[in-house]
Amino acid sequence: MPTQTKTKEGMSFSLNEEQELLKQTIRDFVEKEVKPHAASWDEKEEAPLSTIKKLGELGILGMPIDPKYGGSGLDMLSIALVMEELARGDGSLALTVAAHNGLACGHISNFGSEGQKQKYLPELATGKKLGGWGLTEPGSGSDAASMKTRAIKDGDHWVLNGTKMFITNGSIGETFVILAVTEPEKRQKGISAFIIEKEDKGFKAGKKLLKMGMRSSDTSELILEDVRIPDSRRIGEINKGFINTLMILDKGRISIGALAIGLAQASFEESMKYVNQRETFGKLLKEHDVIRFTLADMAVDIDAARLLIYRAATYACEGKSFTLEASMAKLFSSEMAMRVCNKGIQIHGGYGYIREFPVERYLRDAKLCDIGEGTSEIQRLVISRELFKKYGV
Amino acid sequence: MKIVVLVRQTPDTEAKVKVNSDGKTIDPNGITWIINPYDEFAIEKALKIKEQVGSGEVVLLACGPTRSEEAIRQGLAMGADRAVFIKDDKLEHIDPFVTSKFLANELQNIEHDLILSGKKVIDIESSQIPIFVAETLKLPFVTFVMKINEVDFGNKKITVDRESEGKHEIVEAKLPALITCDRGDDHPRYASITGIMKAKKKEIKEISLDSIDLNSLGLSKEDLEKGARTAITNMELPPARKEAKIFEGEIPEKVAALVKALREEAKVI
Ligand SMILES: Cc1cc2nc3c(=O)[nH]c(=O)nc-3n(C[C@H](O)[C@H](O)[C@H](O)COP(=O)(O)OP(=O)(O)OC[C@H]3O[C@@H](n4cnc5c(N)ncnc54)[C@H](O)[C@@H]3O)c2cc1C
Repeated sequence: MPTQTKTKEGMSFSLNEEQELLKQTIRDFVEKEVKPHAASWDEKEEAPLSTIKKLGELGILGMPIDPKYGGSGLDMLSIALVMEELARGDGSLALTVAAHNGLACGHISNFGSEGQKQKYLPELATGKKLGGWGLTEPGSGSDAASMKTRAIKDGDHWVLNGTKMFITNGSIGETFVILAVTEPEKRQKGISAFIIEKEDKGFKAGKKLLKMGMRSSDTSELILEDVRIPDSRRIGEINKGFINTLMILDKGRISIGALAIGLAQASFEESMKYVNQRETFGKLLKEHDVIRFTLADMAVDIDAARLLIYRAATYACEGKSFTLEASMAKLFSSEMAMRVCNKGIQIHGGYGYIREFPVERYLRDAKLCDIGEGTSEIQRLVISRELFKKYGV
Repeated sequence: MKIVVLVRQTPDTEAKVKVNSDGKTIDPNGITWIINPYDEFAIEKALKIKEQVGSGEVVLLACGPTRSEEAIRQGLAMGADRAVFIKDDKLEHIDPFVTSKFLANELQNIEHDLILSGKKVIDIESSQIPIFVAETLKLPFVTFVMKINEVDFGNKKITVDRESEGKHEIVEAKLPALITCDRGDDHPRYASITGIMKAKKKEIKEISLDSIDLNSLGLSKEDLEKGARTAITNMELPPARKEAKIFEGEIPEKVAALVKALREEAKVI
């Protein structure tokens, strides 16, 4: 077993015993309860609610939540480890967890009032209720601050109107964090966050969206028509919603990056198995140099992404600023997953293209990582902006 | 109510085992280690009893090289309360007899109403250790138990269901007793994240080999290296399985060919 050595000159690249145990436990769970079903969940295009419930029992739905509110209180690196392992079994399930944990629970945990935390976090932490987070709208994604959903103050209540788009857990979730404009002329400095409950009058999930990948992760429109809620549902200060959102997204990007790594790892492992079975030109695939080199490239790519994710997550654990590192890690991991999952299919040849083998699903799932929680272009925007700041350009 | 569970770390069932050049031991490189699966059933049964009774303590007892600590932590993460670990890398290759002597010796220092263990360890395919332990401690024991029907700590009685050769036997034993466990209907629980976090803070009491008086256990130093009662003299991997024979053609032809092969080649009919 590698022992954790820390010299003055070097840095440690080993996980500690607790992190190893966490990774192993999730891997065990995924091998037995997730991997064998992922293909049929994808086929049905339905979120596996009974498995999601089991995730709640294990504490996976309360990862960032303080144990005081029934959560597991995990640090960002541990969360990244769990995300990778979940995605190694099923990208969709990992996405369900990412939206619930990182976005919905994360927003309430970080910026909610004591009363809101006591009311909402325990049932989210155990998975009794699933959470969702609504920023994107039909007309605004990358340019999220141009959103149209409006919240107007009416006495000590707010009235919300608008439509949210592409919301993960939209039709299976029960507790939502919704971003809405409170002062239109102030753009991103005029947006606030609210908690909306499924039963709120005037609130409903619109149509379920059918997707290319991540098909057993639920994605819906959310429609708000004169939804009237008390001011106690507002999260954090008025007009601070968007600034808080950027902080939520920094962490969310680490999760999505880790998810991409899990998919790439899965594709790599399937390919490793396959090259030991398939023969062409009188040799096993693994005996062809080109195939060996492809596998080597895949492994290097995956490890490079993993190190970037570990760095960003470690910065987050240490309380350092990690916006740049998280964006770099998310960008590299998502594009890496597309490269690696594509190679995984190529190694499988025709079999890689048919749904009996899982590698085509990994590629379909991986594409989401290029888009969700900030597209790759938006990551490049963030990275260059941070770099210009750093270099005073 | 105190339950002690004997645990051992074994190579993963999926691990590709290689034999060392000495031809007697396995090469530990590249092996992932797991908690012996049958010991996991024992831990699950112990935790269920504790949950039913509503109080008590589940203590893990292990004897092995340093790496075994991972298996112990895993058991603690599942929910066991604490552990005692007879730890030394010299314990890598000891035989079941020596192991049982160490375990029995330590059990005298741990309060127990019931001792559980797996029905066998999957590394050396042995079921001897717990039985030797029970014999040494003069405890009643029941092996291959599928289900613990009832534990009555007040009247010091346990009733269990063991399966043997196609029949079920319901056995009653006086406590303290030792029970070796099969799976039954149990699904060992996954450690929860909170379980894992708590496991770090749970006590693993380490017993060093040096603190044990070998003579008083009737053992010598050589027994540690060569084995006291049994020794592995040679180890080899099973021969690669012969390739399957696939018969081609229409079903009647295939059946005829199969029957012919079973009669003439395999000589089984
Ligand atoms: C499966 C799925 C789940 C999702 N879950 C959620 C969720 O739970 N909550 C939520 O709020 N949102 C969610 N989203 C929305 C997601 O975050 C957005 O789709 C994403 O931010 C991109 O926005 P858009 O789709 O409007 O694309 P657009 O913003 O319209 O972008 C179109 C293209 O233009 C590029 N582009 C845009 N602006 C620039 C620029 N300035 N410079 C260069 N290129 C640019 C983009 O990178 C992209 O390639 C989800 C999306 C999907 C597909």
